[in-house]
Order: sequence, then structure tokens, then C-alpha cells
Amino acid sequence: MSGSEKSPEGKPKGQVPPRGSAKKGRMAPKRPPIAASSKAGGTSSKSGGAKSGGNNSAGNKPGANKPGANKPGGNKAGSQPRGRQAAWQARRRRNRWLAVGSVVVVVVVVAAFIVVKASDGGSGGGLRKPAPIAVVNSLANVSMSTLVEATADKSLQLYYPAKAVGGRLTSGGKPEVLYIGAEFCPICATERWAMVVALSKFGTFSNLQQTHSALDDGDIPTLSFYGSTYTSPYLTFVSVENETNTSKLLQSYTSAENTLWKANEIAQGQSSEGYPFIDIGGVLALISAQTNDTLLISHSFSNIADSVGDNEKTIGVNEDASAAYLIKAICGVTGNKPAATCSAVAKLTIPSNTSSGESSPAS
Amino acid sequence: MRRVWWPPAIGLVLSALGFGVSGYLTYEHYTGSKSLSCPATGGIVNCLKVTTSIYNNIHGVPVAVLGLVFFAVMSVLQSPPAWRSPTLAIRFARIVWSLVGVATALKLVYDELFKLDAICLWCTSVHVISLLLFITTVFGTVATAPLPDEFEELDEFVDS
Repeated sequence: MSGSEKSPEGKPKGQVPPRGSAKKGRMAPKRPPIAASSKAGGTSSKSGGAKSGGNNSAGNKPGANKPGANKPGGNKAGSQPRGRQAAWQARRRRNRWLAVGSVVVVVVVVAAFIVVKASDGGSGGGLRKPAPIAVVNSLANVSMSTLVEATADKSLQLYYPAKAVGGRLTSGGKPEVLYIGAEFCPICATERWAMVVALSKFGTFSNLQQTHSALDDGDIPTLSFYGSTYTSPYLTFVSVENETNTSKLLQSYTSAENTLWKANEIAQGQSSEGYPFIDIGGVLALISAQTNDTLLISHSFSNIADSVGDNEKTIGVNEDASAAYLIKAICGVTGNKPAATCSAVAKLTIPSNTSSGESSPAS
Repeated sequence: MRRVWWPPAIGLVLSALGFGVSGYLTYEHYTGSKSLSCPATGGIVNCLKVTTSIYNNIHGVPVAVLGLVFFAVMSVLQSPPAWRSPTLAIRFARIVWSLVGVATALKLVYDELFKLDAICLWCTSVHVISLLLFITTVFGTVATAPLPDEFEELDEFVDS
């Protein structure tokens, strides 16, 4: 507090702050609470002091600082600055709490983000980790009506399963669905979402993994069949994740599977094997993702998982329609069992890839 | 109006830092992020994934460019003359602008953590700077609160 803020009369005692302060003797007559509430701290302006000298408030009037001037029934004008001081102090306190509160709110929001993220499993990087049970259940429980409804979207450009070569594919007395893919492969990453939805209508997955395609190949969050088991009374699912998302060998396919794979790729116009290859009981074969893998780029695992089953979302309607066509194809080899599932897609027809608007097979 | 040294000092330094980082990210944005200095080790830190994502634009404007504009305006609002100014519109604008900054930062952090699964260290530094600017602004505003004889002007402004 500068000396310039002392009253011209040099009698600061006449205006004792509402709450006593050791600094009250240094108060300017007009605004004693300033020092009390702001600790002065050298922050008071000289201009403020100069202003007070020329202020016309009643507090600076001769006699205003005299003892007893502010007593009830005394100088009424003397109560005005005290009222203003009290209001100023109250406002200042309120603003201080508002400032603290606003900062706390922001910090709490950031902390909540971090806690939720940490509890969600942290980084989406690395090779793989067990897929959240909630996600697996959510994918398994997408309703058949939602899946079929997605196929009605005429704007979709899908690549459909085509006629397979190599004869009927069976295993353990049941039709076999064979998948050969790789974790680095973005097209496989895209199709696995629909595959899990579709196959969950015929059986149950356990120990599905969460992974992503290669960092330099879309980095698409997805599920991996590596290490998972699938049980179904209707079909046998054989999965081969041939390479990790860093292109290291993970699982090998048999020579018979390789032969089948190559034959179907060539039958569908490809020169050699490419990921993924999905043979549905030797009746239909898919050599690409049904939908465009770029749709999933830049989306998180949970974001994609939340989208599947929601036909209002681009990812959702594409994956849902893909799942519906896979179900239709699988029903063709299970003898339309289970009935509840297959009756829902009974009227669905898998279009030919020669129709306009098809997607190009992935390389 | 009381004079306090630290709000303009801290505010200006933070604004300059933010402007610098935003400038770097803007350069990287328009050069394809080819020289972006940020590790992508397979963990959650992956600048390229963030800076080339669909969340790197707000209504078609690159976030890095918005950052440049934000810190340029903030530099003016954090300047000593602005902090000395008794004009309540300036004080109000400074708070609102810092709030815009921190709200945008929160939105982008949410996108990074929950939509992209990736964090960009350069972007994070901008978010931290925005938060510090917000803290500086709100506490600086309290510290430089109008004095009692300026109350009436404040009341008139609030009423208006």
C-alpha cells in the first residue's frame, strides 16, 4: 500500500474495516478493505490512490472519519462506502471461489478422462489383449432385425461372398467356415467385426482378442481370432491368423487350406492369395472385406464397437449389412439352422459382385 | 484497477509458447506431417495418427490453424496494456477466450483418448498451455478486480 492512499486528513482510524485488520492503519479512507482483503501485496494502484483523493463519496467528506460518524443516526452518508466495501469484498470473495471452482472443474474433467481411459485398458497399441466381455456380448446381441434392416440401405457399396470352388468343406461332421487372415491386414480388421456378429448367431466365442491392424496400414482397431475358441452345434469355425500386426508369423495354414485358398482367389479373378479368405462350407467364399476398410480408420475400438448395431452410423450400417449377408451365406450351409436366425434372412438375397456399385476386391 | 505483474507476464509467455507449437503443427499439417517429430512406438503416443485423423479439423478448418488464431488473439488479450485496461469488455473477452481455449482442448483430449486411442505430444503441450492460460486468466482477473469506485461501471456493464 503506497503512502499516497492515506487520507488527506491522515486519520485512517475513522474507517475501520468491517473485520479488523492489522493493516487497517494503512488504509485509504475510502477503501480500507482493499488492503485487508487483497493483502495489498503491492498491487494497489497509484492511480487508485489518486482517484480516492478526488472522490466525491461521502466517506471523504470532512467529518466522515470522525469517531461516531458511522453510528446509527449519525452521518448517514458514512454508511454508503462501508456498504460498497462490504459488497466489494463479497464480490471479490465470490469471484475468487468462482475462479477456484472453474479451475477445479476443468482439472476434474481431465482427471476423469485419464481415470476412465486407464480403467478401459489404456493404450490401444501393442499386439493384442483380451477383448472386453461387454464388447463381445454387445456384438453377439445385435438383433437380427437391425442386421437385415441395414441391407435395405441402397447407398452401401459392398463386396459380397461369391460361389466357392473346391467342393463342400466340412469338419467334425459339420459344415466348416474357414478364415485365413492376418492381424496386420486392415481389410481383415474390417471384416472381423461383421464376422463376430454373424458367427455369434450360430455359436459362442470365448477369449476373443482385441488388436489393430499395422500402424502403417490403417491402424484399424479390431478383434483377433488368435487364441479364441468357438463352439457351435451348427458349424465348425477354423481360423488362421497367419501373421501378427507387425507381420511376424503367428499361425500356419495347412497345405490343403492353402490349395483351397489359392483356387478360390483365382476363381474370383485374383492372381494369388490375399488376406482375408473366408470359405463358407465350400459353397460361398469371400476374398475381401465386404465393406471399405477406410471407413474404420481413425476410429477407436470402443467407437467402432459402439457403432456396430447402430444403422444410423456409417460404420454401423456397413458392418451390420455385412454381417447379415454372412449370416445368409452361413445359413445356406447349416440347413437354415438355427431357424430363428435363418428365418430372419430368408428373404435376403446375396447380390452378385458383377452388379454396379460393387467394391473392388482388396489386394 | 489494480496492477499486478504476473498475469501479463505469464500470459504472454504461455501465449507465445502456444503460438510457436501451433505454428509448428500448422507447418506439419500443410507439408503432410512428413517431418513431424513425435514417436509412434505402437503405444498410445502416436502424433501422426492424431494429426492426420478426421478429428484434426473443426468445421473444415485444421485444428492447428485454429490454435494459431487462438494464441494470436490471446497474445493481444494477455498483453500488459490489455491487463491494465479498465475496460470491462476486454476483461470479459479474455475470460471467454480462455474458456473457449480450454473447452476446445477438452474436446480434443476426449477425441484423442476415446475416439482415436492415440495421444499427440505436441497437441498435449498445446492443451496444457491452454489450461495454464485459463488458470492465469481467471486468477489474474480476480487479482486485478475493479476497485470499489469502479463498481458502478462494472454493474452497468453486467446489467447491459
